[in-house]
Amino acid sequence: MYGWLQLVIFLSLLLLLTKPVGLYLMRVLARDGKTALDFVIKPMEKTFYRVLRIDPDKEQSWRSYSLSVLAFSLIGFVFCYAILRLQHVLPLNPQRLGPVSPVLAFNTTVSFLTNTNWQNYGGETTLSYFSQMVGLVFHNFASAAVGLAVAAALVRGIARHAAHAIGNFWVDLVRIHLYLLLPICLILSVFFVSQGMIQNFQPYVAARGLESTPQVIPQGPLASQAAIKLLGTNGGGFFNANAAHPYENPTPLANFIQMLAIFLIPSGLTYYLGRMVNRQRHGWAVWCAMSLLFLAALLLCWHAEAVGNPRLSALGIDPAGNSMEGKEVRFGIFNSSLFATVTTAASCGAVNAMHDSFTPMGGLVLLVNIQLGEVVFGGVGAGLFGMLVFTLLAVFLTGLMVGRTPEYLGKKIEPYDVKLCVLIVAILIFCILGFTAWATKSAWGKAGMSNAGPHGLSEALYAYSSASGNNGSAFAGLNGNSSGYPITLGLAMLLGRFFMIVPVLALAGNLARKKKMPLSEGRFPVSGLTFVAVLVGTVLIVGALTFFPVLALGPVVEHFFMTATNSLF
Amino acid sequence: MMDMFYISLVLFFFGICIGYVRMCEWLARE
Repeated sequence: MYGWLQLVIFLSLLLLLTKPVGLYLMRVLARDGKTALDFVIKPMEKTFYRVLRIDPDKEQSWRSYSLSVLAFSLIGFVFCYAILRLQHVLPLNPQRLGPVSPVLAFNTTVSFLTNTNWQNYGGETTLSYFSQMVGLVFHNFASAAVGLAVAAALVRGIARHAAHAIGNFWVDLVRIHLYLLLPICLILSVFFVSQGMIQNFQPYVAARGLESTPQVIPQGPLASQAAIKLLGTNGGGFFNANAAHPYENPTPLANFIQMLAIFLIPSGLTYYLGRMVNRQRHGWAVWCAMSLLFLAALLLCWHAEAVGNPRLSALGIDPAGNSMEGKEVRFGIFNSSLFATVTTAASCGAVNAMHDSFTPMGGLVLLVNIQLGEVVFGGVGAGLFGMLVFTLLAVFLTGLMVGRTPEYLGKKIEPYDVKLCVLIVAILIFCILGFTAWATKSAWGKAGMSNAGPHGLSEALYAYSSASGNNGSAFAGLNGNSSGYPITLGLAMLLGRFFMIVPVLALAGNLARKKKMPLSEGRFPVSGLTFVAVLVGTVLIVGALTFFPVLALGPVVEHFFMTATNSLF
Repeated sequence: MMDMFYISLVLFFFGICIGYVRMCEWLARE
């Protein structure tokens, strides 16, 4: 009952916040947009332009925009890698932690650079405060801003008429940081501190528990990192246990606000889309499609976890308790399922329960969320541009069905647009299935799996789905530090990020260049129930057809082992 | 030594990305 009530409150609040956030995004993502913070931030913004020699009035072609994204990301890599390797000589290291090893520094830097935040390390045992709050948090902000900038460029491309430019990357980057991410994170951080989250530079505390067992309680600047971890859909935990740690998720209210923060910007972006293209109903239709997919995933996951393992139930163990392994007692079945669905739908990767401990069907839902391209609200920016790619494919497919030239918001969809959309979808598929196949066939891949049989396959599949989809959560039974995993996971993250962004920007440039035609009578409507159904169908069919065989060999087989045989997994 | 390897790997990847940008341009002409 409380679960249903919380779900209604969660979705109602999300719906209520969508319009104001969308309207604010309109102002932030417009070069001359006015906001209530102008009197404080405008001078800072101008200073940035002056120091970095940016001409805010000069817009870029898609090619120039792409090269700017790549250059910025490369510099960001070197900056963070150097910090991790030199943390032992840098300040704010009260635990005197040594330098991060080269392979771990590579994997971690790539992970944060690509907004994945896959963690092959435990934060409290590996990284200094300086590494966390300067090296990693820099990427938490920057990678979210890059995703949002790319989504804004694509929306501009759709909205513009016979234009050659899609915006200025450097202006987008500065404005997103100053007007959007920093102010909201400041508010969120203060709220988290009010809930009991720590924010200090103290050395770790030595304490004795009730049984006089000595223990070390880590400290650190947590609240400020947690805020951007959620708002930027990054997901990298300050502590190894992420949002299951009592410091990192101290109260039920903090847990609720964390989930809301993950969906906040992706949800607002749908309203931004509607406003920009002058078709508000289209923006809401995209929101409805995302919500339907989210609800379906949540209900399936919640049901699977609530039913638990039937063989344990047959022994008289309460079904509500028999799937609690790997879950926080404070959050229970519903809040663990909701958080897991939100974090995998949204490319976040923060966790308040261990996904590897979910039932096979619960784990399957989380896998599918990632494999669909994380378009169910999705990552900051990445969710919207992913969903727009599916929208173009849906429009193209319906055009083929009725024998008309596909048309999206007055623009003809031509072969080049479809080629780019297919390229974007294919990259994710290639990375997930290709790397998983390699790992499951190789000695290094098998050595890193802690489980045999279908669950071992699920672990490897989850790892490469998470890396390629830039999610960052894990089936933690897999040892990501084992032999070939750190490099292949790093490559999957890079490919899944930049090999998607480049064709998305090419698509933006091509759409911007087209002339808008008057809407024709027989065009496929991009709002209303039919459009929502076709869009949801396209997302599901592309995802299901591609990944169903491997899912059948992993979680589906595991489910039948659990329910129908005497084998124990 | 290993630092150079990983930095070179990432540099190589971004080099490929620039080629990828050109491939997307080439696709438009095809």
